[in-house]
Amino acid sequence: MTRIAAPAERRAPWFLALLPSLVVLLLVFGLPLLELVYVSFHPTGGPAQIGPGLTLENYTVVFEDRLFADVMARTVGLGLAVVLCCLVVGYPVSYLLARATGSWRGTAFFLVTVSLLVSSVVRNLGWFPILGESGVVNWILTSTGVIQTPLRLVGNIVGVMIGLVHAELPIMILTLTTVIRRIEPDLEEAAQSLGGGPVAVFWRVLLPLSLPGVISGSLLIFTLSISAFTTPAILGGNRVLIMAIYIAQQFQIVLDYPAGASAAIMLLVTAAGLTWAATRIRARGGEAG
Amino acid sequence: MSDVVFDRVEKMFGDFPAVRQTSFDVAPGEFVTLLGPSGSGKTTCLRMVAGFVAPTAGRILLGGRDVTRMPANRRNIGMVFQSYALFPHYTVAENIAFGLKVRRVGRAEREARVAEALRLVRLEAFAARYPAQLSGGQRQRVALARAVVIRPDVLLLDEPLAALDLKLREELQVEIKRVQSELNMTTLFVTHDQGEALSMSDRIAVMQAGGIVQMAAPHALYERPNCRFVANFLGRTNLIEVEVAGRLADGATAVRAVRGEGGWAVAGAPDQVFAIGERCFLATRPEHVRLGGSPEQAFEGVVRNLIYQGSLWQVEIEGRHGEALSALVGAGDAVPTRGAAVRASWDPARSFLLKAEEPAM
Amino acid sequence: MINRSLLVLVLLAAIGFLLAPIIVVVAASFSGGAVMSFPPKDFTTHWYSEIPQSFYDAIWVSFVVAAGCAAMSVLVGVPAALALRRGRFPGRGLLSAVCLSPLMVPALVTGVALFQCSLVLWDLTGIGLGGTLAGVMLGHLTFGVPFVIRAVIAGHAQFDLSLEEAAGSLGASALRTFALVTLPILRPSIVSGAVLAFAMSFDDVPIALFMGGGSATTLPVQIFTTVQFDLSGDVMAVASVVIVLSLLVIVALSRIAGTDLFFGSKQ
Repeated sequence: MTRIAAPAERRAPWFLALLPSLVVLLLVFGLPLLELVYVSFHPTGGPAQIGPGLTLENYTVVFEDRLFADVMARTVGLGLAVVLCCLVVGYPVSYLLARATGSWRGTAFFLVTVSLLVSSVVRNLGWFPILGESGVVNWILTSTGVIQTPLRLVGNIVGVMIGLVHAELPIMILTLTTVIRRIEPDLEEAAQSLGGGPVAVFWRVLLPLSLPGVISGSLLIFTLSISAFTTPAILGGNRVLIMAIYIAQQFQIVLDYPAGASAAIMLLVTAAGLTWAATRIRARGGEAG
Repeated sequence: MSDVVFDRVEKMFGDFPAVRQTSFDVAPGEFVTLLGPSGSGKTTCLRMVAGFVAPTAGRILLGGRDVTRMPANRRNIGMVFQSYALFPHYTVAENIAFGLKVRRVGRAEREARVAEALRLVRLEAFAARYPAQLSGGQRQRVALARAVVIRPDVLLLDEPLAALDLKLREELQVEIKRVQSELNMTTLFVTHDQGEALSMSDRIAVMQAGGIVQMAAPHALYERPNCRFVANFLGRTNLIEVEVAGRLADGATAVRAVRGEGGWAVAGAPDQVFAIGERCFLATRPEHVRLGGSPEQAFEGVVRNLIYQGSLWQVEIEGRHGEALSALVGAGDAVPTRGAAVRASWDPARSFLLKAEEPAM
Repeated sequence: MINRSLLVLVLLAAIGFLLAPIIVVVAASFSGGAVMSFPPKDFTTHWYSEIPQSFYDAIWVSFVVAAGCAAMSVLVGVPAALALRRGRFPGRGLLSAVCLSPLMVPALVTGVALFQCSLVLWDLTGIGLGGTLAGVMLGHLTFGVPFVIRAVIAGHAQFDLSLEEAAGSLGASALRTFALVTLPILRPSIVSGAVLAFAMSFDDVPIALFMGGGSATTLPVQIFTTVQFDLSGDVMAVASVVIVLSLLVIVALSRIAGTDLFFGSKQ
């Protein structure tokens, strides 16, 4: 009996369909990254030049250069502060949105997330008339006599923090609302029926059950904060030296490409690692829930 | 000439033989059912006829053409899927017109044929609806109309009723059968439901483990299963392990129980030859077993269980040596109590013998 | 349980905080005095007539880049997503991770990498991608393609493959099946991927900053560089136009999604 080649199941040339994407991503993403890695292992050869020979110096600078260590510490500190603010404000809001049943919930959800859909540059502009030296906040504070001289709220790390919290609070709320909605309200009622007060219900029921979501959301926000460039550049007025600003300056002003490249690679590894961890935690939390 | 010929077809999925060398055919206008439990290869057979799965070996002929290597879209088949597979972005009328459109049937004829198909399945009023706006039964009728409107050489039905509830299933059985005979359409039907198979088919092929065990008209299959698998897949059959004792003058065979001292005459026409002394099974349907009767054709035992089935009682009897026998007793007749000693018997013509060995697959 | 009115108060404060800068941008664009000063002096619309030509040019650049990015992303992303969902070839899981990996990399890092690479390309071949529309658009493909792939993969999860078999059984060739069945059913997820690619391209600063410039300056970059030196009412006017435009797009899209043009499933 003759064997027949399977016409219907003949391997569709699926790999060919994937090829254009792979080629495009290799050219616009893979090669540039490799080039960046390559540059990061070379010494600088003067402004905008790459010197000959290989070196690890651009990476070991982390342990030697006080300035760079400060940059990293500032970046991490900023990320932690943003995460904390987003958690403190975001958790109660998410709880309310997750448990709400009224018709206002849709509206509230829209109002909380609509800023995500507005261009990030444009959003940041709005902070100047609010936080500036003759802005709304200072006008209120001085005219009520709380302070005499206006506070500096923009063009420094405070402004950057406010801008980042503004950018990432909706993301935190979206994440937490999904997580809290998955916790059965019955569990809270059960805890109450057993005599638990609001505080006990929060610490013993809500928080432990939403912890995977809290952690993965926090990792995500932290990653976005340390990677952000636009907001720190606008609201920090290029004076708040965090990783992203430092990297951009190496390429635009200092013209030490290898130093910028190695800092960029370090940022990449950190961000990619944290994103990966967040995905893993969310996946595991999903299984458990 | 047959409309569908399945000639020594085999299908391997890797090392797993989904269909072992299998042959059957479907005559023009005939309704043939592939019946079997899941994993028996019946759907794979249907999908090979459709052209979605290529056979590893063998030939498939549709209307005399060898279609073994032909892609599905050139085979001129009509298929109804278990999941309906209605296009969600087209209306009912557009769904039905799809096959005509790709065949480049002119607009006027297309509209006429769609209208006719809608009339056939009695959905004239739903032409402009989308599938999401229809009930399950309506969707399956649209799927049927879509499949027959292209006047296929063969209509393929892949468990079309499995997703519906009992009452709808019965309604659609009648509907499908009516459409099929109205159009005199050659049909190959796949199901795991013996009731559907028995009530709709001209012939049934019972499949198990990738092969056809028996293929016959419904009543022949029911009255004369050729092995224990078929006997129990279509309804229930009492099986008593026996040994052939000798031939009787009227042509019947005398058997005696392997365990215990029962002895019976078996007059059902034998398909196979049984030697004197051969171990085999005496088979008789519960509805042919009655309580009481003559001592020489008797099964003595104790009532272990009584199951009420509305119009009937199912009486489970256990013999002295653990053999089981089930009898159906009309609800109006005398029903024994649990634990009572009873004698059951049956007409020798209503029993037959089955080989101890199942046919090798 | 937990004091509800307190929660409502936090919610209102959060909404106020989130909406404040957006409202203020629009308000400031109508303010006569210096942008940074409060309370506003008087109402004026003259900033809108004083928007410099460079902003109009930048809007056009952004539009071309975003549209090109969305179109290219759909063109290469859709086949890739289908391949990743349906194909059986070794390393499929890994390739799928590779295709989505650019989304894990900070845009600034991608931006400087592209910048660095375009310098090398210039040195080696004399092809200058930096400062061109094509350069910015190629840069934006780093997130456009993964966004489309991700959206289509998600949409494909609910795709019933027997629909394609049904089309085949009715006589449609593979090509017609794709055009008449597969594509229309995947259209919502393709559209949402394309919209996301367009929106992110229209929003991006770091990549457009390092790849663009000159005649290839996108609107966000134009605003970004302008405010580094000077913040005046004309920028607020441009920003207000952007806000109104994006809100219009949001409303239009939710209309489309709400009435569900694609399946007519609304009873």
